[in-house]
Amino acid sequence: MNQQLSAPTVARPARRGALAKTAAVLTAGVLLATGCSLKDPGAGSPASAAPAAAQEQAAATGVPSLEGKTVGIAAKDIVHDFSRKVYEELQARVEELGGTVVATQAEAKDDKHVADVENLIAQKPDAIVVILGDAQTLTPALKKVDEAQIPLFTVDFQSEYSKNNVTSDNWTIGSTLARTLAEDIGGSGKVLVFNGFPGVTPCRIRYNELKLVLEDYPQIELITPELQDKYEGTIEDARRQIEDNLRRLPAGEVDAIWSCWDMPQIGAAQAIEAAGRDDVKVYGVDAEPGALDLIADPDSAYQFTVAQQTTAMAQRSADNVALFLDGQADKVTTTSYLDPVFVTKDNVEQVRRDLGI
Amino acid sequence: MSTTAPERQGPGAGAPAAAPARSGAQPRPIRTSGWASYAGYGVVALVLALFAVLSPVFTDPANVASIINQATVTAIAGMGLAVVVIVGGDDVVEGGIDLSVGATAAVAGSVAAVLVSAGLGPAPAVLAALGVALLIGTANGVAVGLGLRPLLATLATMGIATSLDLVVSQNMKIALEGQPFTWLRDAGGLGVSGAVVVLLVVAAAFIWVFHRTRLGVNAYAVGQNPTAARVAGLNPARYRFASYLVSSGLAGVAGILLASRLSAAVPGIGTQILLDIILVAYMSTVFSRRLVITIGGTLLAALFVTALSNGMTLAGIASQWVGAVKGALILAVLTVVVLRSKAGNR
Repeated sequence: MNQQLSAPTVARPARRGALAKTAAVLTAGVLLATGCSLKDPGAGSPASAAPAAAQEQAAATGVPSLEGKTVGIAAKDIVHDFSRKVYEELQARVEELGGTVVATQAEAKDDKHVADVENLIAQKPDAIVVILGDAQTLTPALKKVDEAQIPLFTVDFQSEYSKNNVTSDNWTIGSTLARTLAEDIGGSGKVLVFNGFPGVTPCRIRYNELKLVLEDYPQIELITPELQDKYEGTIEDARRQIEDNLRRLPAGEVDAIWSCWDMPQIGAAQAIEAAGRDDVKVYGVDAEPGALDLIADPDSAYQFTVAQQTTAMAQRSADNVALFLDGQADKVTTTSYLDPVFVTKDNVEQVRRDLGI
Repeated sequence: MSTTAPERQGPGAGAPAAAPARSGAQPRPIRTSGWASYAGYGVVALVLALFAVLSPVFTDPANVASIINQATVTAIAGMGLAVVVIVGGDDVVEGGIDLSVGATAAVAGSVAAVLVSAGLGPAPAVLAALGVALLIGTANGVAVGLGLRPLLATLATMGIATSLDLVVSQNMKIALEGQPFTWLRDAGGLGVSGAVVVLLVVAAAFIWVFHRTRLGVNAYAVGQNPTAARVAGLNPARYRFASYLVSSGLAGVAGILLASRLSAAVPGIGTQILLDIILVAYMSTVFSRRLVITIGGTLLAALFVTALSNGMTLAGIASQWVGAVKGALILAVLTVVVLRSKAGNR
């Protein structure tokens, strides 16, 4: 260690300059890296793009101010577009209502998510909002939130300690996704399934709906073993898995690929294109920009995804926090459901314009 | 703090052991003196004071307890890695390193969780998990003993352990609850979890062994000058082999603590924790007058790195910036120490 640490031999003033430069380059590099990987072209959308139905409710309730209130935010990740947009829009809405935000995001790491929540509790904010999360690993930390008597709110994450969970209607998403797939392949065939996140509530519901729908499509069979998608490096990993499986499964042995989110499916669609196959269709959820691009491409295997009203969901969560802290807890329901928007090759451009995604 | 004295040779290090230690220390002239030797502590204290000013909550006993809780996993695994580097030498390419610690921790957590959910009692499950960890350590020790570069050998076993983790867990989270895992996870009466108790015991034992006994002096001697150590009658190969067992064993302990903390074994978590473990082991030099890796220093570095993340959250620094600010502060601490040590040497 000494050898490395004592390596520079320049004079001291110059070294200080070099240190400052290193810090600047480091900072710029980090900014550049995050800027590039997180913002997809055309993804930045004004709040006004949310559908009218969601907006009118927020306006009608007369949301109280969050002046003087601090809201802690603990997001599971900002690696996919859904969570990144909810994370940003939630902060924007809390600040718009006059509140102060302490925002954390766990880079998709369960242990960091737990630590983030613990660190927020230490700061004793007026409320904590958790965006996505894993029930098994996060629940003990949420119990501590409850014990500290800090009201907990969640977005797309069911918890017994949450005062209100804002989510899309995942049963509708799951059954529509499954029915669309089943009809598209003519009611019979074989389906590859990515099923890596049974502990994530929306995924569990969508997967259960798939099973339920397929009870009435006895000719459709799920290929075993089901595939495990990963939370990090998802696209690349899924692409490799599907490439390998396409070699194993010739034409007629696989007709569609299902996943509860878009990330692995982007890799899947790439693999199908690379293999020159036109007999496999791809179905996902989340309206990830990369997935929308593929759906818009008439030659791509990507058929269908589901857009969630991210901006409206974030706003609703912030508004519920404001209502609750204003003593209007009776106006805050256990769950706020928002309608999903289904995206096909026919309406993809229209939905992108409407939702600004 | 208990670690200001770790490098002083205690009365336990008698005359016979002192000889190899002295000859081993020969190629290391750096020994800072006076105020310069406390530069590392100074900068760390400065950073912590800054956080205390930015957020009154930072020094809250509950928050301090929370920081210690969060630091347990990297601290314990980091101490194991520190042992490998102390015994194997700190040359990054040729010296001692164990890249498999993260994956070993992960697989130990998964083994324990799978066995507990299969109905096995906690004691045999934990023993089996530690057994798997020690098997990986044995593979590392044998490979390095055969003359493979530790960097490459442990990279290979890291791959094996990562894969084993996926096989054992089937890439799914496996719940790990019930006693004693809830005790390890949750704060007891004093606001500290059982994991902290484990940390204190492990840290006290290793600080004592490495900085107060003949064995510890010999371990440093083997790492700093194996030839001289051999001449003095020590067997460097045996020390090295043992160091990999210690590293994997502590990684196994850390893995069980991590799975308890998350109330589940999380597949693939090994790669996520590896860098922090390496960081705290090497950063321990900051707390050393001779700029060598120490056990006590590793503990302090783990606490400092955890306090950085915690402090930045409390100070309301946007999380996108946390990585950059954390990196910059760590660079600053390391730089100050190096500059001061040179100034002290002039």
